[in-house]
Amino acid sequence: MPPAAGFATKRLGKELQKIHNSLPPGIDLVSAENFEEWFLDIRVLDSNPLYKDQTYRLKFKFSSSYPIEPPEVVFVKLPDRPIPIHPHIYSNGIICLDLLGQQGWSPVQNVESVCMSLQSMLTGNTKDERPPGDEDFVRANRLRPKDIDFFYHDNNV
Amino acid sequence: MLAGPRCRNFTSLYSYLGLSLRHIPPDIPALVAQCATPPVINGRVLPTTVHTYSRRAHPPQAWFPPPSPPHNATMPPPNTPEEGVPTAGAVVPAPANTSATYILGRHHLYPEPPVSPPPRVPTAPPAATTESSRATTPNPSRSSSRPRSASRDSSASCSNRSCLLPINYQDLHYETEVDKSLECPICRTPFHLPLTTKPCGHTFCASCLDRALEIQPLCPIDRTPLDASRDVCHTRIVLDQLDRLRVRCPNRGCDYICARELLPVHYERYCEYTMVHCPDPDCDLRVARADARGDRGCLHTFTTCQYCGKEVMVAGLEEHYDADCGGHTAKCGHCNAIVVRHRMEKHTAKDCPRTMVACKWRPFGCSEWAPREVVEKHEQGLCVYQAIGRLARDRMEDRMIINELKERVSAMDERLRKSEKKEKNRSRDGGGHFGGIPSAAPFMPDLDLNHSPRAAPSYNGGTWESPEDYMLAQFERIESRMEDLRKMIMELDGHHTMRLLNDTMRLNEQIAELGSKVGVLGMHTTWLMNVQRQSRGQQRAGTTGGTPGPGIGVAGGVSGGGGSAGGREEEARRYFSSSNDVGLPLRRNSDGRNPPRL
Ligand SMILES: [Zn+2]
Ligand SMILES: [Zn+2]
Ligand SMILES: [Zn+2]
Ligand SMILES: [Zn+2]
Ligand SMILES: [Zn+2]
Ligand SMILES: [Zn+2]
Ligand SMILES: [Zn+2]
Repeated sequence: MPPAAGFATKRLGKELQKIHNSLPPGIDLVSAENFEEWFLDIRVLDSNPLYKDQTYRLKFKFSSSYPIEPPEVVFVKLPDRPIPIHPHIYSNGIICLDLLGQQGWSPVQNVESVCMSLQSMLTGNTKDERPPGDEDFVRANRLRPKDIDFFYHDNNV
Repeated sequence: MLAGPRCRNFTSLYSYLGLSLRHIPPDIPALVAQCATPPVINGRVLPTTVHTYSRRAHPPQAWFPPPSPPHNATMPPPNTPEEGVPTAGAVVPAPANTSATYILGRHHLYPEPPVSPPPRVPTAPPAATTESSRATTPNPSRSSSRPRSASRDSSASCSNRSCLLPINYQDLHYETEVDKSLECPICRTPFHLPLTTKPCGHTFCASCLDRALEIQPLCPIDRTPLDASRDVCHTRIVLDQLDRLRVRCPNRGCDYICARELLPVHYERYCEYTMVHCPDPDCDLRVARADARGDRGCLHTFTTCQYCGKEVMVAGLEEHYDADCGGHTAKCGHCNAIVVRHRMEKHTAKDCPRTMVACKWRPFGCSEWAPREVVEKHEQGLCVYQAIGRLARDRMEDRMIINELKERVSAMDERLRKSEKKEKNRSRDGGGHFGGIPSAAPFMPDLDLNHSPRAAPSYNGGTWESPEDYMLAQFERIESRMEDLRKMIMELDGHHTMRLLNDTMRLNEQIAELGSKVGVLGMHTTWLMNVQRQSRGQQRAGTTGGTPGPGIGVAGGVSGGGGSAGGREEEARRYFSSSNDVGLPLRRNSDGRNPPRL
């Protein structure tokens, strides 16, 4: 749909401009060669032993209806970029965060705010564990993150 | 298949971002929908072209202007041929396409474009002609040679051939720095048709909010539940600032820059690059307005490029030469640039940095003759004839104005003389009461037209070199006189105000004095009245001891009826004691109470 695509492009162009100017500490742009897929690195800033001295790579995928619809955000595994351990991050990089779901997303969010959310999500975590059923899920799942019907039930982490 | 892994919800993240997940129950009955009117600013309805978001499939919500009926049903444009064809256009079975309907409504917003002589100009009236001709004489055999599918999506569904593609406000290029507070949090561009949510007061573009609410009916910022038809209203406070932002015309090739509120007028009526419907009524594609003019017919047939042999649409030929024509190019003899042969003439005439050209101030004496790049630099600052040139140019403009004025004056002169003659004739014929009036009197306002150069050619003899100089002097004189008058008026005004002030001040003082006197008098009157009342009461008590007035003492009356000596005594005492009080009543009375009794 041409107008919608232009909409997303325009908005992402604006965001990219801002990102080039400044990013919050611990967030770095790795590549943004088009307006479909961006890569960013995030680090946890405090001395949480779970994530100390680690950098994680995030992949953002934007649809043509961004920012009305949320981007698809996953952690990517690379030799020097592990998947952070967290009770809401599956070992294949898929993140369970209502902010990134159709219900929790809001069009005023942006790449930067998503990165900051993930940073804070890691910072606040103390549990050295994967989500329940991680192995089964990773083995069986062939769906894309946005098609997965996550069941959010915990309001206090 | 995994239905849904259990995971957790991160409310805290919202608070981390300063957001809130609270679902504030909206007090809906209190939020009476006040914005069911179309957006109006300064008495002007906002252009509605902007409401044509292609994603809207459902009928428009209440904050959009209701789709207007086809324009010729309510307001037939004057002097159009369709008046003769009663059912044309109005009965066009418009496909259920809201965007088309809205654009139809646009014709209510601006005065009809000036009726232009060439018959194929794609402004409203001619387009209506083609529409009606199509409606009356249906053409069953539409030529199939056209590449109808090429860009069908943009224009195919238009029922009105004068409609334009809407301006995409999110794609506009702003020439001025835009304040961050004027940016929509969704599209991050300056608001277009800003709407503010009523429960929480957040502002978004109408289209952005509409899209967001289509996904979920919550405020995108704080997730307050919103009803798109009731919980939003217009934001006038920022409209003024938005209107003043300078934007570039969105059409490719157009360099026009204007205030944003003026853009629709330029885009819809004047811009030569606006894409309009093809002049061929059977063609659904669009061409630039400039190309649609001049009766060249449909430009959407394919032709072979004479240089590279590619199949190119006629309308896109120019673009093809500029962009991707790989055919017969030639090397520019001056600058060695590779140029399509078709463009060589333009290149040497306008672009080539090595072609020898003259300074643009040549007519004023500059003899610079050098390659274009040198001359451009020279023109920018070095040329000594620049000042003279500018001056001369200004003078030329002045001269043009003077000429125009001269023409007007002579026309006026002519008219004057004619009416003078008529007047004379009439006074001669009528004889009677007109005779007394001096014939020139009605034409002798402060502007001495009778002394215009033609009537009194004094400019030739001495002081004035030419009629222009004479006119200029005349104008100067009038101007200075006007200035004098203005000063006088202001002075008078000042005097007037001063006098008024003085007078009113004195009057005010007098009034205040009178007021205080009245107050004193009032006090005196009350005092006197009280004294009178009191003494009357005492008199009554003294003379008719046996029949006491009500309230003076029932006990006294009862004892008096008993006829005992003790009663008399008491009465006498009462009399005396109250007569002793005579010195006091003023103070007591001023309290509003009755004088005390024992
Ligand atoms: Zn809100
Ligand atoms: Zn917006
Ligand atoms: Zn333009
Ligand atoms: Zn055509
Ligand atoms: Zn070619
Ligand atoms: Zn050249
Ligand atoms: Zn010069």
